[in-house]
Amino acid sequence: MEQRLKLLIAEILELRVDDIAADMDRQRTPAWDSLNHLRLITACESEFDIVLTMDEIAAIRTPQHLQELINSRSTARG
Amino acid sequence: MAEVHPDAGGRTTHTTVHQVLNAERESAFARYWKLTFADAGPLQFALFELATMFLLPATGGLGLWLRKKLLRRFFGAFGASAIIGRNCVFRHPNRIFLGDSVTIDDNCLLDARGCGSEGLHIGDHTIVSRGCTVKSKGGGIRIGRRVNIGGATQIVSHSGIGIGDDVAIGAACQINGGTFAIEEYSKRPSQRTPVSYGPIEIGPGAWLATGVLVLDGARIGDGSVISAGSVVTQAVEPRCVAQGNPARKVFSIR
Repeated sequence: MEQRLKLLIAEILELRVDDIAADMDRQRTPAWDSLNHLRLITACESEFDIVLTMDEIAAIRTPQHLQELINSRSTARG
Repeated sequence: MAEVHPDAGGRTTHTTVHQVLNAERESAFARYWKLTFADAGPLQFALFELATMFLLPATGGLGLWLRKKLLRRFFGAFGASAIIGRNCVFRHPNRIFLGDSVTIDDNCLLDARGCGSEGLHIGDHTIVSRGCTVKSKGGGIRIGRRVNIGGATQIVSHSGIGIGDDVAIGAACQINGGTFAIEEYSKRPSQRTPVSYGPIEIGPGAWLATGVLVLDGARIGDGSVISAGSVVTQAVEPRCVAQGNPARKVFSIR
């Protein structure tokens, strides 16, 4: 997982960077509530210059999944 | 009896309950009449007093049926299949217009004192849950169709409130117009005149989560979501999620 994404997640969820694991499940992380999820998506869209659909946003369960979506958008852009 | 008075600064003021209650030249009964059913003649007022005394506390299905059959005549409009719960209070019912299948749950207060000819309108299939207050001190109130208003919510108009169709309002929200002007801060609150800088508007399909406060002149755009406990003081654009005090956009719904 990219360090930039890790830092963003840590900042928005107010967790330590070392505590952010690639397979951290959104539904088992109390700080990752629906509102923080939307704040995280907004921050990622701004940081990585991407736009996600509502279906993609709803489907994201882990930082790894979010990283894959960011990578796929970056690849598509060339 | 229009209660709203525009001033030169574009603000509106209204007649306060204090002013009515402290009108010394009127008897206590006349003041009570003025505050509860001002437009009624003596016979209609007496009938309304009797009807509410016996019908509003009545329990069970029979109570619901009796209220539906016998209270409708006092309302501006009373749609088919409207349901009125126990121990509700209705003030100026001739200015209250209920659509079809409206539900007013137990212990609600609907007060149309300040509505004037604009009235207090509640659209078809709207539910006003237990313990809500919907009250006008000034300006009309228009609540759309299929609106769901959570328990213990207070909606108080000072210069008008509009709520669009399909809005969901969580429990214990406060939608409350009116404020005091800065130039009157040196006076005690009882000596100040409440003012409003504009009506409150909530667009169709918006969702206010639990405990949201919406203050004077605020506007919430169509389909927006306001997170729990937020305070809306200005305009929230359509189709976004807003949070905080003051509520600010955190996400665009797409």
